[in-house]
Amino acid sequence: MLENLTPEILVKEMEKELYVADEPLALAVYLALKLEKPLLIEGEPGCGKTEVAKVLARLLNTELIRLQCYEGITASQALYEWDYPRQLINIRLLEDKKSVDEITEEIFSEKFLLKRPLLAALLYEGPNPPVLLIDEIDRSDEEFEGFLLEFLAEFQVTIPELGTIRAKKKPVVIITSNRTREVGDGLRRRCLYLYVTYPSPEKEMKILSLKVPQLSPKLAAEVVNFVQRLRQVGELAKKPGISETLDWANALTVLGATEINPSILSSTLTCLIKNEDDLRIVRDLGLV
Amino acid sequence: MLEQPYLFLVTEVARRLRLEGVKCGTAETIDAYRAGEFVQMRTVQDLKNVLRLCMVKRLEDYEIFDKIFDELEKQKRPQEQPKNETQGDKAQAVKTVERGESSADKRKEMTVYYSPVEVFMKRELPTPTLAFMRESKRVMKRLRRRLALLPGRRYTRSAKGYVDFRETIRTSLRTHGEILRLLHMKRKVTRCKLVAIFDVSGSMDTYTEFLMQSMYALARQSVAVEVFVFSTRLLKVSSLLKYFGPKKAAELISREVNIWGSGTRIGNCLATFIDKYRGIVGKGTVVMIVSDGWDTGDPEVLDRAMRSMKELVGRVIWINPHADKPGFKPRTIGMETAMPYIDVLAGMNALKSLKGFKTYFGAGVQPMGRRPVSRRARPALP
Repeated sequence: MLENLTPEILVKEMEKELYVADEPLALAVYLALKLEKPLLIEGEPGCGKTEVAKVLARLLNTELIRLQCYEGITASQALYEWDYPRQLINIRLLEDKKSVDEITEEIFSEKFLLKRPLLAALLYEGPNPPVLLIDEIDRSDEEFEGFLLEFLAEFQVTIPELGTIRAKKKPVVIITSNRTREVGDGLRRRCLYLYVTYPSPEKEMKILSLKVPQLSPKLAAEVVNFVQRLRQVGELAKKPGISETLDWANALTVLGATEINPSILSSTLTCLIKNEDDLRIVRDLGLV
Repeated sequence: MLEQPYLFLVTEVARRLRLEGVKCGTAETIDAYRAGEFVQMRTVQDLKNVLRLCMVKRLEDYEIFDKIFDELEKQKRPQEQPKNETQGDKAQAVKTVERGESSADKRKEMTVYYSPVEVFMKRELPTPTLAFMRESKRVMKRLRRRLALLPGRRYTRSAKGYVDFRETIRTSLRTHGEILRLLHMKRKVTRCKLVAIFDVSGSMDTYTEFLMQSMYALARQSVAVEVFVFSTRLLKVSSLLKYFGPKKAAELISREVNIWGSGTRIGNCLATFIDKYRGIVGKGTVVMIVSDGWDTGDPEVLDRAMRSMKELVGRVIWINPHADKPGFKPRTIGMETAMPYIDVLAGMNALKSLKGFKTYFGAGVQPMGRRPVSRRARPALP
């Protein structure tokens, strides 16, 4: 499928997987595949950044390998770790039967290697390269980012006891960031960059009709209209993303609503606004 | 193979981007050129999307790119290319790209030297000396250590946490290799994120030179440091400083922020900061405000802003230039309002030298209790 791919085909294929991609996004994914470069996607939370990787993995018929970053993540948590408890047990079991050298060889073999996401992506065996999702890179600290640079440049890992492991197939890398911290220039330079923001009303309608087909077009229009108005409110600490819109639309269908009236709105507003202060602001503005 | 105009467009866009201070290196240009082979560009919008994707790596730079692209589009096809660049093969392409960069660099240098600066022309803003940079780097490093709130890379023994296999096995040797007790370790607290907010209004006039230099030194520290300036409005300047150095940055900043404008609105600017950038601060962040506290805004606004600042971040440090003078009392309205929310009030000397630093942050001077980094929800605003 990779050979005769064009951005237009990609849009259609992604739509089959229930993802509405606009032109810049499809182009970004397409070029990331063609140029074999990582794609750095920044944007507001809940705008489908992570979803891109998931859809892409399904499209390429391959595995999605996910590395969730967090504050204090270290190389050993992302790459590999020796399985110490099992090694200790094995030392005990082999103590009488084998020599020291034999035991060392035994316990530092691939059997005792715990593969964390990055190594798993390198060792992946399949017809298509795996999709490696490095999620919320901004949460990790700079040291880890520096380490990633090295990994992304060479796609190889050196394990002192085993030697260097190279990628069988260069994984497709998608990196997402919520901009809680500025991602360093080094990483930016190695990636293609895309900023995704809240969708236009038309696009949001399309997403709703794809993802929540039970919703009547009239109600969908009302939903989109309200959410778009909510996003205009500058004071909100967290504006509702697409995932919030979908949650809300699902809630409305479960409740069997036919229109948005004040009582339904006030009981389901928690789908959209998830912050006490924001709720107060929305009430004060008379949107509810 | 692509035709020349595309290559020319790519290099031209890159050149103009660099002039505007956008980081766009040879790698980006090559990417953009290669991308042209893969994408069928039917409309101008396609072309724009491709170039932006490959050459612009920050949201802040999108705007600059759009402006440049639209300008070029208006001019339509660019002027004649130099004669020696008519060959269309790849090696040539790369060469041209490189040449484009070096000439752009020269031009950039020239702008630094000869740009007409309205305000800073009058005052020579010297590039910081190496000695200053070194001392400043030392001070900042100490500062970040001293104020550390976040766990770093190193480990220390502890009762709970990860199992320390190394120590466990080492102790087990005393009992003939039999492991009787598992020892644990946790990360040492050695890091912090730092957000520095500098007052560049009229009343801070005397210190401009030093301020610019420390800003520069700070911004170049690491990505975990963000620098902002404000007088009547707030501006993020970290990447500006990193790329341009203090001279050109000062010029650009003075254009953006009304530096000599009368009236500092600290409260409003801090409120803007909380509104726009609350995502980049957390309980592991130290906010350093450098200001004399002359505030013409509503003290009520400042009070509210400082209170939410205190709740959002780990520590608030206030650097007041007058605090160096003996017998200093925080008497300005701004200072009085902000005092209850400040963890440490220090003078400018704290940033100048290690000696000065020790007077304010030294071990014996102020007990700096470490607040635990908690992930629990913050208390709601009253």
